[in-house]
Amino acid sequence: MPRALKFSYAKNEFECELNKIDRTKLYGSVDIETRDSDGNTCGLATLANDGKTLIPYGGTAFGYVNGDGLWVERSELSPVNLNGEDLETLPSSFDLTIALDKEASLDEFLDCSVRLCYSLGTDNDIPSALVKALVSGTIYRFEFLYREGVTADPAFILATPDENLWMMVGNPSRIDFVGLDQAAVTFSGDTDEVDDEADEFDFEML
Amino acid sequence: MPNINLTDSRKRDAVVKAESTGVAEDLRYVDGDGKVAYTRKILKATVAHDFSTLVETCDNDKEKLAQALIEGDPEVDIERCGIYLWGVSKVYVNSEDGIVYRIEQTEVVRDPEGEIKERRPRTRAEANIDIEIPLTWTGRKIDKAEAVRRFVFSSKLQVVHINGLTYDFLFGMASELASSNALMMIGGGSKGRDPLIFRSGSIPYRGFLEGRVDGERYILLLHLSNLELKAPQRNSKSRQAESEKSLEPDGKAPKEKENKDAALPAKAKKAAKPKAAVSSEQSDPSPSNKKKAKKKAKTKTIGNKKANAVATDNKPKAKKKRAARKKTDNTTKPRVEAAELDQLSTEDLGVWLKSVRMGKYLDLFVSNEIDVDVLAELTDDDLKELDIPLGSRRRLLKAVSEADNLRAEVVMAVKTMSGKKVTNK
Repeated sequence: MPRALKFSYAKNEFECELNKIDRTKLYGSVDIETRDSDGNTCGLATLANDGKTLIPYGGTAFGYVNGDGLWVERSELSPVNLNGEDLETLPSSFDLTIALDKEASLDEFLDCSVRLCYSLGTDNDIPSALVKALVSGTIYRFEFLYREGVTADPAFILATPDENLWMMVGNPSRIDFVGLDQAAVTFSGDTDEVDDEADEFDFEML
Repeated sequence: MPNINLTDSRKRDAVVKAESTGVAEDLRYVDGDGKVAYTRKILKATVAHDFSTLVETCDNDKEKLAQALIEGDPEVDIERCGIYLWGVSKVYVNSEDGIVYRIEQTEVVRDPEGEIKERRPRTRAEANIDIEIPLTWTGRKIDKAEAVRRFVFSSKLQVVHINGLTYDFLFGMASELASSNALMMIGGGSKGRDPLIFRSGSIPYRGFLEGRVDGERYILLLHLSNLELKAPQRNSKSRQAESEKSLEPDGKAPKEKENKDAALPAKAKKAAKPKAAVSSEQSDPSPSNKKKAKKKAKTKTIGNKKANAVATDNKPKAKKKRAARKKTDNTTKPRVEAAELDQLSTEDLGVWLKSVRMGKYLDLFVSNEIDVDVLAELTDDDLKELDIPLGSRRRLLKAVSEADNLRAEVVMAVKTMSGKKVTNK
């Protein structure tokens, strides 16, 4: 059963269920079948850099080590920002009532790359004023955390002209204006190093 | 940072750079002493210690393996478990865990219902963003407000100049787009219709350019999308599940149906509302409802016209008759009660077989103890075993596959047939 988010809009509270939308549901999918020259099915495995250790699917994991290379349990770690300040743990959005009171401009929305797209299952008590506002082009913005955590993602609610409501969860982007005075991007082959042998002309060009 | 070769509205082209717009996370994890911890990829198990190998070493006896796990740690490779991994490669292995060097790959194309549509040799589309043919400024502008409601932009790149000339080139594009407040679709290939492919075999995307200008500075964004913002079509499986739920013998179906409907977007949910609710909406004379009803009627008319057009243009007479019969059946379909589904007799099966022009096989099915449930599971090979000729096999399998719920279809066929008899009298 899909999970539901609780929203408030102009003092009205209502719930919407989240139904994830992906390409498979709209267009189908393509699976790749791999066979050897005898027609037997093959699977994927990982080969370690020693060239002989074969690791099956699920045979690797990620662990934490400190600067001394010693193993550290996840439970012993605490999150901090780049300045070393402790980060507050935020509750999951499913445990809150989300106020739809911040409008987002089109540029604000377009600044984010959409990571997750949900259609919102609505019931009859969704405020008609909200539907009207969304259909007329308003986009509402809020912070979203699927689980309790320290960083929230930007999320947006908008409606398509057919009155379907959608929620997009995005990744913020780093976008800056660029001008002619800014350093030009150089091709990877270019370097600033001075070539000591630049004055030595090579005449052995045969 | 990939190079991109693209044209502007004046068909001039230039190679420029596309920068990632990703943001590094402002988050670190520290231990009790304030030391920053790092993640490392480690080895958990090799193929010599995975489940299938362990079972084999225990003579394929899982009980024996369970005992071995209790008594010791056969799943742990003491020498290598926990080593850091880097520079690993993906390889293909056969069932005996041997590396395979020559492979053949097939693409299995599935529709949204998961049914296989096509099998074809794997092909890798070549990258087309920095080749001789530049990405084309197609001239297809889409208003920003419309674009965000039509496409899901899952990624973006910032297009930047590499010298004075390309600065003018990109600034001109950004200015043009900023003044129109629209996104410009760009595409690959000589006609500009192909999707953008950044690396050989990578995901194809549709590309849209957006421009913003601030004095002499500009932002030119390349938005990428491979998903339209639209609700999935309700497939036959969900319809079948819904039909089964509506036939729940305990009569509790509506509650479950509510949950199912909740999985549908608002519009689909409206369509799935019980008839009574729809009729109350229709009876409501408010202007908005009148408008809705009018729109609905218009859509229905278009749908019917389309169906008729197809029938008139392409279908031979027999098909037309079948289509007409199907249409009539749909409009006069009686409601199936749950209890009726449990009381299907051989005669009922016979009625359904007759309705799909397969009545002559009733005796054959009865003598082979084939009832409605078995019939729904029959394959082409099964029918071959019964010596049913090819044409009939195809017709029968088609009829079975077209029935969302065969038991319900049989009951409906019986009701329809008996209804006809009454009418004739």
